[in-house]
Amino acid sequence: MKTGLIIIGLILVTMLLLGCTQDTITNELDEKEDTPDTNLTNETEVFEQEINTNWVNENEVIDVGSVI
Amino acid sequence: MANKLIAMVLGLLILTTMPLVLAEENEGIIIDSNITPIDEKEAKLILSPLGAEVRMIQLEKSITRNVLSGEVVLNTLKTNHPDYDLIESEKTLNTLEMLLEEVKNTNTQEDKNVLVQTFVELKKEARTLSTQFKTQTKGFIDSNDRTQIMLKIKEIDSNYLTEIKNKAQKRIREYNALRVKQHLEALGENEDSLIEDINRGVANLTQTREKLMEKFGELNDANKKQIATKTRNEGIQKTIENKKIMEQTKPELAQKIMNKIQTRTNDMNNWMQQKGIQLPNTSSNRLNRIEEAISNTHGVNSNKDTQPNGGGKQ
Repeated sequence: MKTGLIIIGLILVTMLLLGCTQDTITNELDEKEDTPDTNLTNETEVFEQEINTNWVNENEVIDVGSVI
Repeated sequence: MANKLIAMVLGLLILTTMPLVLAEENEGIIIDSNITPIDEKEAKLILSPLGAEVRMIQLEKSITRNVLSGEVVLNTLKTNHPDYDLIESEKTLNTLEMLLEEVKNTNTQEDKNVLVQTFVELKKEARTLSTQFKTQTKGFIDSNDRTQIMLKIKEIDSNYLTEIKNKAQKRIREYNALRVKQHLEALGENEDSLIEDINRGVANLTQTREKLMEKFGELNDANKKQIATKTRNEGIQKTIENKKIMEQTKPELAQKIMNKIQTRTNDMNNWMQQKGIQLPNTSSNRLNRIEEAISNTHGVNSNKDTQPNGGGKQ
């Protein structure tokens, strides 16, 4: 019975850790994607990045999935 | 003892996974309510009026393509397998067509908070319905059907979507031209020929960037620093504003999408009556309907004072 409880406990802890890791990874990715790079010290880089991020590509497609 | 243990572990697994399954699946519909970094990037453009028009017409283009492709799938299946029951997939395609009408009628002058939420909900609903249609028809399509369908979809791209593609392209060029005009103004410059080239699709990003960077390089260090600081601060403010709106969009998104689909399903009989169509032949005039709808200018509610030369603030 004790062994059983230990195994169940281990499973729960593993699932909890997996969940936390996933959240952390997602948050880190989100930060990288969307936060402007505040560490850019070079003025030229800041301005160049602004031009790039404000340009919309003519071939850009909103992905609404596929029907086939 | 071993059996008890296995039963307990299985029970535990079921208990932990069931809520996830129930949250995602409702009446057989798998709702796509996951907000991705791409959604956030797309929504950020909506913070400006012309950007909102760009996103709505891009969304209209993508959904139009799916409705037309769905129509091809149904027509091919009806021709090749007249005995198949396709009523459920017809209903799903009708719902997607109803959604397309809502996208076309969205007022892009609405408050940006409302517009961002509307855009995300419409996009996610379109994804949900497209996936549902795909799931409903997948089992019916054999390799011969698939080959025919793919060929017809290529025709659709050239015959039906050219007009809407051009409209989207025009709006994107206007948006890019406006942004570049604002960059030039920040630099104290005025380059009408460049703006004209962007509007005509002659100047691409590389050429535009080169010109702007050239102008930027001519500034003294103090001015460069001032413009870079202002640019960075505005960028950060915009990102924060966008994140805030997206956070407001997330709660109960799946439920909101489910409710919208439910409402459309309830309204379908009225909608079909208005169009003069009856199941199972709802598709007979779909191509004509879509073609006619594309010809009608998008954005009857669009913001006219946001033209590149209209001085609208983005």
